[in-house]
Amino acid sequence: MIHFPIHYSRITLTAGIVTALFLLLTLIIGGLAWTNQKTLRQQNYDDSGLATVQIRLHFMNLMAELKGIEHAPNYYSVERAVLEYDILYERLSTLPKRPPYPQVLDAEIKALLVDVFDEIAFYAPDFDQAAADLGAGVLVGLHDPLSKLRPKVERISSRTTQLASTFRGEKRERSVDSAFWLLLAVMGLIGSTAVFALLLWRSVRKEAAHYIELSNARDDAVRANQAKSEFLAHMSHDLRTPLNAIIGFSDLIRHASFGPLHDKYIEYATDVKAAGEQLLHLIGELLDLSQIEAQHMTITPERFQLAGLIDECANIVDIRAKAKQISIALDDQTQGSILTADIGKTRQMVLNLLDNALKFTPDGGEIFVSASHLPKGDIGISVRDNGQGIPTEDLPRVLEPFGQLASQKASVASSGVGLGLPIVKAIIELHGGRIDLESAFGQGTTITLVFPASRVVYDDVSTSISSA
Amino acid sequence: MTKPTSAVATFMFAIVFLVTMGYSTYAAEPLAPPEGPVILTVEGSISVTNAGKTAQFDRDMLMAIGVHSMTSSNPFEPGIHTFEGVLLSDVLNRIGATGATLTAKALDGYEIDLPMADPQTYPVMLAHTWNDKIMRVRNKGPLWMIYPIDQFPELNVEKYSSRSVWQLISLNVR
Repeated sequence: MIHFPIHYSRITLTAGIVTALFLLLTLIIGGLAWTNQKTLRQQNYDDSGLATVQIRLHFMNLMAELKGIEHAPNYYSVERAVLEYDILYERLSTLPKRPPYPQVLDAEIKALLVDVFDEIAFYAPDFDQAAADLGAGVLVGLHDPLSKLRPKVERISSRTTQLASTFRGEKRERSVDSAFWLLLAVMGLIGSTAVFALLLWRSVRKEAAHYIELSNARDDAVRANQAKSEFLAHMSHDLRTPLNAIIGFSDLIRHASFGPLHDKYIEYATDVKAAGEQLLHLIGELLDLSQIEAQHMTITPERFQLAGLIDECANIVDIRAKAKQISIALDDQTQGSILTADIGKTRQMVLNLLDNALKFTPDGGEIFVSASHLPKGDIGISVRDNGQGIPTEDLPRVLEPFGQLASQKASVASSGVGLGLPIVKAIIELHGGRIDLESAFGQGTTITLVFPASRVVYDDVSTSISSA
Repeated sequence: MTKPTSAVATFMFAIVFLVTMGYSTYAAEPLAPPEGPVILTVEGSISVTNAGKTAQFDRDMLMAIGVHSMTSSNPFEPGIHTFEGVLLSDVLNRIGATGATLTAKALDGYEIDLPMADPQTYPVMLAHTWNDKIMRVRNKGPLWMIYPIDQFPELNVEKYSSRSVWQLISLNVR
């Protein structure tokens, strides 16, 4: 996870929030506008006042027919008059409740409409009779009283047209307003989205650059480490060649092969040989480590009996143990189990653990070597000493190359650069196993090599090769 | 000895013949002249007429086509209303109307075109009673074209409201 400078991600976050707010605003206003549109579409609005103009028109038609009847009564005029009356009647009765007129009309016009309708409806029986017999009689004389309604009808028509115009204007204003706010919100959304996208893009670009930088650095480090491993491998080889001469010739001198020597020379030659061998051992460890790091180390598994190997290793270190009056106790609980492992490297591991134990066990101490069954069919080889132990917080470090503890260097007068345990760890891991460390400061250390069940073969003791 | 293909052809011909016969018999059924006052006149592209080139209906003749009833809200009147009347499609079928457009005309001169698809798609009604009362001219009669806006909400828009003609007196099929 790569972290950006704080201020940078804060700006991006702010832009993101602003974008989300604008999106929300746009959705709300858009939703309102949509609902408004839907309502507008649904309603059958005559919002022009046309209906009142038609009322006036039919009123005038009616007046004209009535006037005509008074001048020259005829069947056609009566029929026309009845029709105009009926239409006028219908219009007057419907208008006050027909949308949107209840909203458009003011109190004055509403009252006028009721007034005019009542006056018109008063003559309904006359027109009913005229319709029935199509005679002009009942209609004669209606013109004058009805024509008194004319100013009211004209007032209704002109005033309503005006009111409708205002109503329409307000509606248009609302619609324009909502469009304006919608436009504003959309523009805000576009702007903030652009800023957000830009910031996001820059963040991503920065992250990518950072990632490339990191991966380049890692590649460099890996290359440097490989170079080091190769250097170590070559150097170890080249260092061993002159060492062979030193060890070989100091041995010749030590045995005084070409004639008697002063005891001092023999003693010095012995020291030279011991130092050479120690150096050779160190170089061997360096070589192992460089092979491990370069992942060139391989194992050659073969079958062997565990008990025999442990005995053999114990024998090898026996002389050195006796020199320090350290006793080595063996306990094999594996019933002659057979391992499939690299025998040479397994020996190297056990010897290494014994060396360590000898190194850190005080004179007269005790080392306990055991082999036992572990859960899941694994087998463990443990070496326990009663030395000073390792502080808990230092446990992980002792398995790293050159991780020898400062406290140990100071207190134990012994050789070693701290390569042993890392090599053991690498070898046991090559076998698919693991190394367990148990230690408490002042209470000794137990190191266990755990071989996985897949490398364990149970064999009958009678057919084992232990007696070899 | 009949070949299968000719059997099929014969069969199909029979079907076509019967359908055509059935249709033309129905369409050709004559329409008696109206006895009462004429409340609807249909003219234009129709195959059944009873007054010159037009088909005229009095109330009883329209009823005879088949009365339906509908309960619905209305764009012009608040509340829920019950209408009774004939289906426009039934009227058009009765007189063999063919065409793409209908012009509906009202007593006061209002006139509007509607596509033939309307009566074919929706049960558009020519209502003659409104809340159990026969509609007079004073009450939007004699006929009011009613679209079922509750059953088909998409009809509740101004486009269809303007086709919902009241005081309807004539139709012109084109």
